[in-house]
Amino acid sequence: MSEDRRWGVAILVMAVAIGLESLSFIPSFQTDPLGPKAFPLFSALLLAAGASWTVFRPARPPAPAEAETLHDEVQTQPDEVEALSGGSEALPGAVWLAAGSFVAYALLLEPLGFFTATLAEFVALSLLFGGRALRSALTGAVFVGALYLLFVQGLGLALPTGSLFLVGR
Amino acid sequence: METVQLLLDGFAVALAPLNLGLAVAGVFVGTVVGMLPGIGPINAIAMLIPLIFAGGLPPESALILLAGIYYGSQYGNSISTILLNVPGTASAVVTAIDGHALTRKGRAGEALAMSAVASFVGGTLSIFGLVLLAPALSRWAIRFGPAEYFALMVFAFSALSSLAGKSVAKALAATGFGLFLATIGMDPNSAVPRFTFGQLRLFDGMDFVVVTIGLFAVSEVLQALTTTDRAQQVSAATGRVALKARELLGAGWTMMRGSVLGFLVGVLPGAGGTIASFVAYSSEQRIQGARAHFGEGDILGVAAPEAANNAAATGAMIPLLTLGIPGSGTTAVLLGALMGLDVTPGPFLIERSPEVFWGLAASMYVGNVVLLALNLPLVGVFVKVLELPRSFLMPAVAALSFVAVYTVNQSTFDLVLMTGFGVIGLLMRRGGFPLAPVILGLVLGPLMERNLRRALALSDGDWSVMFSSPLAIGLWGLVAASLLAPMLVARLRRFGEPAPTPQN
Repeated sequence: MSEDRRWGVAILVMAVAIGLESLSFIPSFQTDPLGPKAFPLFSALLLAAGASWTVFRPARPPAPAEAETLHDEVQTQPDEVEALSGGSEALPGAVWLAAGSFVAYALLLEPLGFFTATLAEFVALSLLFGGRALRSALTGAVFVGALYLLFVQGLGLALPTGSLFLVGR
Repeated sequence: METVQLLLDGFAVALAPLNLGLAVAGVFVGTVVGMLPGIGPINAIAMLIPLIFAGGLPPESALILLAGIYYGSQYGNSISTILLNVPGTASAVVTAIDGHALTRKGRAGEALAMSAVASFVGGTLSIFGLVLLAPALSRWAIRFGPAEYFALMVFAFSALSSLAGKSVAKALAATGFGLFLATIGMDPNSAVPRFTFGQLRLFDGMDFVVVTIGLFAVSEVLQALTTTDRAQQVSAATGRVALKARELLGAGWTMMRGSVLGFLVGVLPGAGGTIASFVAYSSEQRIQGARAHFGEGDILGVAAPEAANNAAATGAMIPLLTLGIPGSGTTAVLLGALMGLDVTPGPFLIERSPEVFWGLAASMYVGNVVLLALNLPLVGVFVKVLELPRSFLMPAVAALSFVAVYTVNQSTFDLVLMTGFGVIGLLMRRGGFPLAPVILGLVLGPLMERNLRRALALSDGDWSVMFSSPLAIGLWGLVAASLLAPMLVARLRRFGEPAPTPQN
């Protein structure tokens, strides 16, 4: 089964789940002829239509490379996309580490405060990209500090201070 | 005459010291962020949205800042395209062909200067088109009822799906995904919660900043982890950023043609900038014939697509401002930002908030001047950003994304959602699914549903209302035509193929 077809099957399953869930949207009173379930059903139908085509279409030779370059609005680096889109290899561990660190960041942001948490995330991500620890910590401290000053002092946005710096008070 | 007076009033707005300063700041920041490899205008605008919302600016000033960021990020994107051959958007792919070839010849400075001048010409000329066309279109658009709006939005989707991507099926699925995301949360008509699974945090629905930054910026960071670093020494090769008078004059007609073509294509929803730059490049190639050496580093091969691309960006503002319908991912993000500023684009915008429309038109012109004045001398400085290692750039992009997402709702749950969309975005890129239709679906979904339900409520559930006016029937005809367009485009593409594909 090709990469595209596996995608198609996964999306079909998702479309069916969305469709089934939509059927349970029953308003307590009649508001309009369509009601709340029609539009989600329509979106599920679109998903299913797109997916069915990739699953059931006849096999054909791969598109010529030039089609790749006229891709969507934000498809980056054509040569890379080509290298990647055919590949069915698993995502490298670094991707999952980074994604995990983002979730950890979300959980720790408010307890640790913006500066500490973001600096830690900055250094962690920098190390994943092959940066050196001390250098990342220094540049990160400057960058994150500048961000904090810009947004909190300059623009008056609220970013969590955290409790670390309040201990001494 | 009235138009001239209104435009002059617009200039009074745009040239107020605060607004002028915002235009300069927007262009500057937009250029730097847009230049980051792989970060195109969509990312730049989404990441800088807190800047726009935060200052407590009046709507016209916030719009001016937004427009500055938009223009700046487009030019920044051209810089990394020409120097590194890393187009952040499909519309820059054509620029990469001759732009990067010039860089390899050591003439990057000329390519960058030509890109700035051509962008200026394209942006300036198309603003006249905007000023002439937008008021007329919006007077006409007042006749749009809910059925016509629904058909128009279907057209925006069908045009984007069929013109922009290589696979209509995948674009369709991406659209469906975006529309699905739009339905999450409390249904405003019936108060029925949809797809919230009892989570109170989902009742307000998906915020487009969270989804956009996740799908684009975070997935870009994650994708960078799957590739190797290609940091390059670029500033040494840039040379002097200037054009000889002969080159400038020689490109005059090319830029004019590119601008007109780009503007006309840009007004149509769908892949405005992409198709515009492509068509401008290939038609210029035919016009120049044997005189030019397209594909081997011809300066005209930079001038044509850059003028067209920028003219198309202005052209795309017309459906956005007069109809409230974005035709691309970038304009969808702009629409989201406008709505966040309580500016509702549509037929009544020009009438009810003339200072917003005319101020924006004038500031687009001012933005173009600033872009030219700022970029020609400063390119050498901007380019230094590209020499920063990814171990600094990517964490910086991530940190900026976190700030942008967190400040929307002061919610750490949004950061988790953002991460989820980052992984989804990476998977979609790998699967060859376009991301722009997701954003368009998310932004247009609520409008689309509201208009559909309103139309059917007015007709008591009779679906024939969707085809009850000549206007609606005409729009459905356009939908059908756009779905047939891929075949046409494929034929055109074979006809005017630019010889080499932009690869190393």
